[in-house]
Amino acid sequence: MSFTLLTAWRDARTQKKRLLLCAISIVFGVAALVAINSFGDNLRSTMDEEAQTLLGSDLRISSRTPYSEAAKFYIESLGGDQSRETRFSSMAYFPSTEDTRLVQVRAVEGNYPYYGEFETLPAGVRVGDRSEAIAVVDPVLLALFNLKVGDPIKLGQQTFTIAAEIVEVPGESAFAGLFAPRVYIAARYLEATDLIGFGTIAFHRYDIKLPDGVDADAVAEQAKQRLGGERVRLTTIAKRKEDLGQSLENLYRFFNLVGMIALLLGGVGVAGAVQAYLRGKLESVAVLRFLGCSVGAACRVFLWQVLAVTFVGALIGASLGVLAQVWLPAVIGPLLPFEIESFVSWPRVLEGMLFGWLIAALFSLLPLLPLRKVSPLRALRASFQPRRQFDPLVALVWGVIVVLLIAYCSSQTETWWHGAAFAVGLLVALVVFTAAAALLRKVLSLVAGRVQSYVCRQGLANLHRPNNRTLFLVVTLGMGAFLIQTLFLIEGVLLSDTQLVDDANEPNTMFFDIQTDQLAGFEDIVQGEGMTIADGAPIVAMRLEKVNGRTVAQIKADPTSDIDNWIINREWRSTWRGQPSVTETVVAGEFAGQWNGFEEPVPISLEDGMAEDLRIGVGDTLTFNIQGLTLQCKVSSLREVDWKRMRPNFFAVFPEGVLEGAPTWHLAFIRAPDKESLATLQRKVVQAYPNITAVDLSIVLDGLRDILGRVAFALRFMASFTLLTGVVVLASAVITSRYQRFRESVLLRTIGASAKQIRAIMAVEYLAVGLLAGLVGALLAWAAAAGLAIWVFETDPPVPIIATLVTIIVTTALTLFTGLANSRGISNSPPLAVLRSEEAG
Amino acid sequence: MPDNQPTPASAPVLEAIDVRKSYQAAHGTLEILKGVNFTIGAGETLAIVGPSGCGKTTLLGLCAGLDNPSAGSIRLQGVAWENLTEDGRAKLRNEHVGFVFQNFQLIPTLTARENVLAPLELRGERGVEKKALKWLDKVGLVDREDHYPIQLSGGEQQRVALARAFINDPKILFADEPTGNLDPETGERIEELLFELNRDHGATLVLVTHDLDLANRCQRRLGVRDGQIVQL
Repeated sequence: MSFTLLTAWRDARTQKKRLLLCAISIVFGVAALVAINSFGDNLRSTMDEEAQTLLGSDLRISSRTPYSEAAKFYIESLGGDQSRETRFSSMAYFPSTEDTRLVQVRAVEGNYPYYGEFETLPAGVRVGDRSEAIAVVDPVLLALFNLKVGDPIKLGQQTFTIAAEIVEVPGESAFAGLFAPRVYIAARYLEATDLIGFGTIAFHRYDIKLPDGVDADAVAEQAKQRLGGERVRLTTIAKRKEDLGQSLENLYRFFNLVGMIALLLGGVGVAGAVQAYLRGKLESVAVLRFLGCSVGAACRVFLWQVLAVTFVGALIGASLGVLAQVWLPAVIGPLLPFEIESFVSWPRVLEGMLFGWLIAALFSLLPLLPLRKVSPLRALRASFQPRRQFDPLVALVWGVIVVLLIAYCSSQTETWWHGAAFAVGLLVALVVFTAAAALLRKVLSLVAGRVQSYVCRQGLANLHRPNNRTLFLVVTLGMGAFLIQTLFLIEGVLLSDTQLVDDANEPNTMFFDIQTDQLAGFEDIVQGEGMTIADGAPIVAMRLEKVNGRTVAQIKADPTSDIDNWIINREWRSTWRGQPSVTETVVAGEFAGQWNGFEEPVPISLEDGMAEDLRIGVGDTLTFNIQGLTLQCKVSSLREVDWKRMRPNFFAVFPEGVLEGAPTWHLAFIRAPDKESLATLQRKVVQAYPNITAVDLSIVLDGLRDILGRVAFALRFMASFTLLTGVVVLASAVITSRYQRFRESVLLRTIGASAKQIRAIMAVEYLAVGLLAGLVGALLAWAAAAGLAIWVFETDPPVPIIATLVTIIVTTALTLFTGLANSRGISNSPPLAVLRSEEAG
Repeated sequence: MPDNQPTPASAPVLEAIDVRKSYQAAHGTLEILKGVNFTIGAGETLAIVGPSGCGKTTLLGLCAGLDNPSAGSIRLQGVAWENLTEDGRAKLRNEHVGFVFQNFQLIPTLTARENVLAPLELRGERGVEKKALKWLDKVGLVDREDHYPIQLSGGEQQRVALARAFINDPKILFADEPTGNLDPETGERIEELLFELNRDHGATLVLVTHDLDLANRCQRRLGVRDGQIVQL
């Protein structure tokens, strides 16, 4: 064994506890990375195995409008086994309880699914196989109204018998029926419901099992050419897998970034702990150098130790990560459209562990490299300190860390600069904490001496005198507080939008599909129930034909165009108004409220985000097709729309006097005083006009809260690794600073300081550090959350006064508590006994 | 390339030529050594004496190649320290120099035996455990070979340091106040041991002390006053 390895081993024998402190900070970071990495493999593997089940057929052709005869003819000519489904929202009425509820009707015919199983309870019920009018419904409906199999459900004019509840539909997550529970009926009864009429938003799809040997992707490519004008969407298993894979990959990468925060914080913790450890080794390095040890060999002695111990830390982290992975399917599973097969992916575990080790090793090098500068003269004069100067090797290691961090984060986000911004943000935070610590030291060096109380003066002096731990403590504690509070603030931002409906002035129910001839009758029913229509709008469906004279087909064919297909393919539902609504603000041009109805182009107002997506502005032209008629329009104004408010909001608003003659249906928003009034109103409306659909916004928002709640839970699960790392780093930082302060404290005890005074001195020191770290961390988190809210989530920035105070208080209290808990041994034991045990390591 | 080959035995082992050392202090330049000249031959014993702060330890550090003089030159075995790299100096020290410190400077995490072994292991020598035990035996601590420094008294630690200083057969031994941290009785025993070992070994001894009794045991004495050498 070489001298350096041998000495590293010998030196480490009595330093196990201190060395372990150097490694413990990365444990939870590595655990997070390993768990999420291995889980990522579970996701991919399950998706590969379940690929066919995800779609349920070889080829799906879907459209938001009924198919033309030509399209039908072509699709049917593709052969194979074909199934059809028409899907739309409607009100369901339950005669046995007299309740109504918005549901998602799925009228099906054929043998879909061809792969996977449509599972029901009782098992094996398929609505298409039975001649009687039966329905298979989401279990949530049964639970909601205390219904059971055999009870009736009325959709429009047709009553069905509930024959079974849904257990699983291939390719759909547990959230599929959250907003509008699913109700399956046979397509042959669709007409009898009388629910599909003008203006009904319905989705139509064919699911095809192609004959054996036929390439679905080739058929899809061919169909795309043939059905080019039909605005259909073609999905094959490969496409579905790719789309879903992309979404899941984004989810997985996001959690990976959260895990990375824990690892980075751990890295900072490692650097601090190693620095503290190596400070105690300066004499040994000097002696080794004196005895003839080369610079490199002296550094290698401690490099081996640090590498070995961080490897142990990474190994423990990896083991914890493997255990934590067991929980991930339960946490993230409900968000996925398939059941995750859980297994430990050893290559990914190894990858996560090695990456964690690399990060820890790099951070360890920062305090390790300056050992090269330790002069053997130090053996002669302990006070000898070389001049501090720029060290290119340390700068190089910093460079590697920065590049690695940016590269890693960029690889985890769809847009590379998002990841880069994330990494740069973290680095900026590091710089801010370093600057704050430097400022604290400077200020204290100027004012600490003037403090009257000896205890306070001594405690504050500890923070600025030579060999202080202020920088390390402020950076590690502050980074922990900052990262953890930012996560919680962002969770709050995501959930805050769901609070709107609780505002007493905002509508809480939306009625749609109101035909023009039903409007007066509908208003009578509403008024009869003592309510008024708070807001409403006429709606005209239209399609975009040209943008600034270029046809949609030309735009789609242009490879340089970056306009999303969904914008030009979509059916626009527009309205007309004399003036902007309460949720709209004109940000450019002039809003045209009236038009003579004859001259073209018609001045319209466009939502600013949509204008940006279409790459147009005020003065540009759009041509719409309204039920076969072409209308040329000119953008006269741009509006900023507050989409969060539950009001009739539109991308395009026409002036009065243009669309009034076009086929129209209406939307109405109402604020119902309570659930009972709303139930009564819904029942009366459904009985009078079965085609009118009511959406209880509180239910929608409850559903949204449920989804966000689960996302937040998953986020919190990942954030808990950061939280645990923060606690470990805090403990490690305080324990290592205990070693630092040990001799001074023992000396003070020797010259007569009481245990109480020693504790008070330490309390002042930790209080000051905790307070600064908490304050800067909380303010930075505030800034980061505001930035993310404005630029990423495009919502109002949070004003977290209470959260900020809580963060400051908790950080300060935790630092103080951990610091004092660690000083017990110092202040209570006889100085000599303490000194001897400490020296023994 | 500097000539790293030792000189013949007749040549001085250590040579200080117009050695100057100064530091930049807050209020200007602080001159510690102002042109020091002396030589010492093989097997000689030399004491450097003077009051605290006169520059004795600075001179010793320069002689052992721990620092560079601001001007002048120091040659060990004919090799100028200032011409060597840090690693070159370390190698030269490992091959030709032994050192005894006032505060012992044992590595706290190594046992007595491992501390003594360190200079040889640094050279890459293996199977030298017996040699270490022999030296521990010479200083009377062979039964404490597995003890850590913390488990030894001050006198015992200095004996281990002596064993470590001699194990690499040094041509020259530097001792910085070797009894400064010990009680008179223990200090005396260490003095005896130091001179006895040095006599047996035939190394040149340079020691720094303000203990005149200790200085008087050396063949030559140099005083340092106001940064200059005065012959005593």
